[in-house]
Amino acid sequence: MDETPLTPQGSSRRGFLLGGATAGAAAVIAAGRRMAVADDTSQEMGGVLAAELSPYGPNQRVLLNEPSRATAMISFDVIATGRKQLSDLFAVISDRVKVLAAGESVAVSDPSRPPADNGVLGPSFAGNQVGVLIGVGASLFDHRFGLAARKPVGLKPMRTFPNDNLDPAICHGDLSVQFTAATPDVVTHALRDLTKHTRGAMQPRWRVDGFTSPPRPDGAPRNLLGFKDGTSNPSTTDTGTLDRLIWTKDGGSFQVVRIIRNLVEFWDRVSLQEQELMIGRRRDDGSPLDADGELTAPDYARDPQGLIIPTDAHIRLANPRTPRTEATRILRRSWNYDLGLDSNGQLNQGTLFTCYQQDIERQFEAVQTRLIDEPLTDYISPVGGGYFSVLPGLADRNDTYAKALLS
Amino acid sequence: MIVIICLIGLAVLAGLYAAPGRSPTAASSAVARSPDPGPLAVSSRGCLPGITDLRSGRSTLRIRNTGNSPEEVQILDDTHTYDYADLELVAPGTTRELIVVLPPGRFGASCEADDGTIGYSDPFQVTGPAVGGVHRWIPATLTDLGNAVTNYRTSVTAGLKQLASDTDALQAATDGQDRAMIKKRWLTAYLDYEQLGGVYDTFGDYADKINGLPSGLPRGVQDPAFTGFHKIEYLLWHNGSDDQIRAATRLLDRDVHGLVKAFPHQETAPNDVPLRTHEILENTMQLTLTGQDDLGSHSGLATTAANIDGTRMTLKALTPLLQQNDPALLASAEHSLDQLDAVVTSLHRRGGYPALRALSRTQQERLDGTLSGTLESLDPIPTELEVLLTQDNS
Ligand code: HEM
Repeated sequence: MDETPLTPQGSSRRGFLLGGATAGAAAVIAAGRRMAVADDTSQEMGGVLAAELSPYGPNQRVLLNEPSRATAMISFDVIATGRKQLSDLFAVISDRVKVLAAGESVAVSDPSRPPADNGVLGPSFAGNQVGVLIGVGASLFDHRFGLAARKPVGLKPMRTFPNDNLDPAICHGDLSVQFTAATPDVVTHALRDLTKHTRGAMQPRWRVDGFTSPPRPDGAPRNLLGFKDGTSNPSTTDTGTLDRLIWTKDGGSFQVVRIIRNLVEFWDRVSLQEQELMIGRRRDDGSPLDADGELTAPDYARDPQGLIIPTDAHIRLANPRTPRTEATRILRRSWNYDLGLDSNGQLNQGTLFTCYQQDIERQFEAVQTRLIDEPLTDYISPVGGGYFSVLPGLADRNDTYAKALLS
Repeated sequence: MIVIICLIGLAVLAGLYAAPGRSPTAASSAVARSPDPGPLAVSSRGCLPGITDLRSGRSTLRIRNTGNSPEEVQILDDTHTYDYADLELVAPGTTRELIVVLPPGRFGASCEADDGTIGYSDPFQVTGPAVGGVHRWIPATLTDLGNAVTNYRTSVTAGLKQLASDTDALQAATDGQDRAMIKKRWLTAYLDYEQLGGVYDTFGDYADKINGLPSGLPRGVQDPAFTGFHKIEYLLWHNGSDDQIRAATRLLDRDVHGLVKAFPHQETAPNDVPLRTHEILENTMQLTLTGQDDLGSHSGLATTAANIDGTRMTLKALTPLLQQNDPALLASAEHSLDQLDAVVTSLHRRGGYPALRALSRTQQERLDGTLSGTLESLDPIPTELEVLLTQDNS
């Protein structure tokens, strides 16, 4: 089994995050189990080990992290023209990622210039606080840069599914950049820094900020429908699983972003039993309806007719847990978002859903296709997002993103 | 007293370098390159006495004003031509950090007190390998900026003359019924004004009378204080009556002539010209490309083009100064304006500029993004050329 169960004990990382009493400890993900270890607090980011924030290595391992408390997902279109300018842009992006990863003493360095740093984190900032994840969209491989032949196999524009309600203003993009951190100011600092240094070469296209919550009272954080979200995922520590489901041959991955409005007012008018039948889990403790305990696996074979967990329940359609569907599994990373109100005064809240996979068609699209017309669709509405190819990690301090694509 | 303060300064310094969270490389290299014996003093009695030789690269000097008046401290080459670092205002009793990247060579500090008296430190030597990241420039003087203001005002005077003749023509057109002709003349005169963005502070009340927006007025477009180009624009594109348009145009023409007469007696602050090199286009970004200053004419692209010309006018007035003080900065500013110009010009069609909202997403992103990039290239100009005016802030 490559399941990643949550440790049910109070010592789980989520328990740590809830209480200030254990401050000083940071959490670590180890060998498929999460546990708290004593460590430097400055290393703690939403409960992941500092190493996972490093941009260096064959893969951008940042994507493996549990959802951080704060995030910003921003898509850009390149406005620079020509290959050379595109390489320059990737060099600047790589540079900023390295600076953000290392931290910097940022007292005014050149008095004949406005301050180099935005100061949001004070006069200096520590390294290892922010995760940055860089992806490229299919549109980057159009006629502009002569990259058509270099397009990663399997990268294409996000397709429209039957239950979608997509707003073109918040779909697609040449690049996706995600910042993750334990606090929103660290995210803002990085976002301001990267956009400042890339101005004139790429232009923001859309952006959604997200947050995750502390465990209530334990286990996976709750989404805005009140359910624990993130319970069941493939292992992020078993290299066999990662190679089978997540990484592509070149060390990249594919990122799917879906901005999914939650119709929370409507949802809150639905009986608890109906809510639970739609999801297939209990709202109170996240147990599958056929067992006790969030971490107990549902046993669909015992209930072929769906008398306990309906055959159209979200978790049953999404992961039927059969040998045939094993290869379709995805690594889900979801944040909540809150964009205020819509034009009718309804709360504009939802899920910033992301998932990672080796092959978008084999995995995300297969899962999403099984979910077409599931009962939950009445209460959620996909409004935006995109497909991106996650680039390999930076080999070292001299490396730049997309080097292989552009060479 | 001073001794105690220095000791505290040392303790703070030690704490600072030991503080966790500071990048270890930055902190340790600062320590290694310039072992700091404590704050250097500045006052009427001396300019950084005891300043020692430094290693090339980045150094951090802590400077304490032990005197009674504010001081400005600069690190200069030994001919006192180039500035490498600048602490604009060290108030009495305060300690500030000056960070400078110096190449090998001979340098000195200058300390200028509030009353203009300048003291110089002993020269000091910087040794070590050549380093990157050195930035030097010739500081502007009040005389330099005064010359730029004079140049600039000469072109504004010419621009105002053109404006007055074009608002005369606009007013004349309102005697007839030809709305298309009135709109055309409105746009001509409006763009004249938009090229003069560099002196809106100088224009005083005339700026709002001539080019005010309805925002901030309690009754918005209906407010009696809403006058000038945008009022006329609003009337022209919202079926205003002939009488309303005539009245608003007459008022505008009167205000423009009032401004022409007043301008020679209005003062332009020395720092205004460098400031406007990016502020005109900051306004374009905030008000024009967002459509906020569009009261119906959809002339945002023509306005942007006029604002680019207005920015060039400010840069032209500063060209002799920048050519001498920081030619690389001048070149990058001109290059980025050319790029922006090319993007705007590429959107021009035979019938004129399309409305901003008619642009494709790609065109819009290119326009917004290029302007953003231009603003980043322009932003060093005011910082570099600014002269601190502690005495006279009028
Ligand atoms: C707003 C939209 C969504 C909501 C509110 C939602 C909610 C949930 C909840 C509460 C769970 C159970 C807890 C867990 O294992 O994490 C879950 C599981 C899951 N969801 Fe979603 N989900 C949403 C969208 C999606 C989408 C778009 C996909 C993929 C196309 C997806 C795929 C899955 C999968 C694969 C599981 C795990 C099933 C298992 O392994 O047992 N979900 N979701």
